Amino acid sequence: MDTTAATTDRAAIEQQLIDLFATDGMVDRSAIKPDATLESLGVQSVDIMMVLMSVEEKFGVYVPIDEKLVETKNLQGFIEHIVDRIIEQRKSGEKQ
Amino acid sequence: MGAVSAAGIGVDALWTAARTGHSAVDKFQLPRDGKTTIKIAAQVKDFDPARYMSATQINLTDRFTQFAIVAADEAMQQAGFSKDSRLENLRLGDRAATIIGTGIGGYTSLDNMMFNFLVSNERLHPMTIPRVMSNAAASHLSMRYGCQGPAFAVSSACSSANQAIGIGAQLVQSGIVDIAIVGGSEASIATTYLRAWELLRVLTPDFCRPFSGGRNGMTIGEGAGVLVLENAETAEARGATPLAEIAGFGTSSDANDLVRPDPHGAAAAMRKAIEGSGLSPDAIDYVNAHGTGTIMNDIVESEALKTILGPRLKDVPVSSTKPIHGHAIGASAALELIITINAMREGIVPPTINWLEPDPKCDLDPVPNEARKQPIRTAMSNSFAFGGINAAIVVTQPS
Repeated sequence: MDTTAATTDRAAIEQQLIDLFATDGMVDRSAIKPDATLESLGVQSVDIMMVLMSVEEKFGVYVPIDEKLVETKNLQGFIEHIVDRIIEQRKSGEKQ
Repeated sequence: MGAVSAAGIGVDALWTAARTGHSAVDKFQLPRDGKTTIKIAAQVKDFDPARYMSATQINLTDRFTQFAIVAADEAMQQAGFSKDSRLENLRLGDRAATIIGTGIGGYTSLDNMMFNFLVSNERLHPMTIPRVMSNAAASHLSMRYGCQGPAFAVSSACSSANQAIGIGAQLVQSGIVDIAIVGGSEASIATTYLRAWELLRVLTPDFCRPFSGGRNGMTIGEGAGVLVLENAETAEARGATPLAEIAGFGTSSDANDLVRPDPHGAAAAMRKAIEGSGLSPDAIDYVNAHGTGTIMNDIVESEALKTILGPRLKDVPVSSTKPIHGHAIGASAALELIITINAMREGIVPPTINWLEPDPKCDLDPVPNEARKQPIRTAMSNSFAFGGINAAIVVTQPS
């Protein structure tokens, strides 16, 4: 995959994740900005569980709660962590 | 003491695995597989109830009650109750209590029966309710040994067994009963149960590594642990040899969040247990931690321990044996107290296995990967549950 395609792919996944936050995380779409903290968006632990369940259903990736996820400060960081896991999983899938 | 765990049947199998750091976590086997992402658990394999009880009893019981019966028989034998007659012929009377903790009771039966009834259109077993009810284990033990005193289940998720043991000790101490058969049992490794835990994102897809950098969750286990509690005079009069003394019990509620642990509540339970023992926190030589291996539990437990142990935090070994026997929820605290008592008796601190590197937020001595010889006079075993329920028990060498 060339760099441009990878960037586009990444952007597309990010957009899908923002959609998931709006629908399953029950976050007001107009309030979604990259630097918004999960706290300011009113995201609770149950919303995170719902989003991560949808990520698993949509992308087939199990994202456990690890240190990196816990330490994300804002929505952008959270989404980037999940995108990393999805891309990581796809790469390991391609190798197999 | 008696135990059933993924390490095998009996206290020896459990203690040997804990002492040598041999994990019983493996790929699980289930009747309806394929619905979960996580494929590992600490499952009791090749358990054949027919070796331990009658066909009638098997028909009446869920796996969690069967585990409790096997563990209780071992505990009663060790306590010397089978010297003069068969255990089933015992009639201990109204001064004997049976208190068995369980997180969710007969879940295996429920999972199977619901599937068979709703999906496969098979008939529902007429004894579904008596099998599944959370007090089934306590009731079966009361019938088995003729215990006509207080009999009940304690259901407080991961703290169930510590509360059952602690309340049993208080009943004995206050003179309400002479003997208490206490502990915890759990047998809920079923597809829906594992999937539900998975959705909480607290299960590790690979290795449970408590207090370690790079940890990412816990592994579900199952089993039962049972202890026989008596006051020293009664035990002596029977000619029984005490293994340990339950010196203190403390329990508290966070009254805060259903799933997020709270260091204040955890510390409160430990403080009460130590105060109840009449000892100082300086007397604690070993802590068997709740240590689930989730990010949050291990940070919160470390913080709570710091408020209790102060500058001694780095000097007191604190290990979690959950990577070995799994997190057996309502049974976990009983399995861990049994390990703690053996650690004390043999002067061996069991290790926290799968440990990779320090986590600055867990600034304690987790006894990484290797057991350690060290005299233990007093030890504490912790458990913290969903629902914000905390329970700690302090044990000492018998006086």
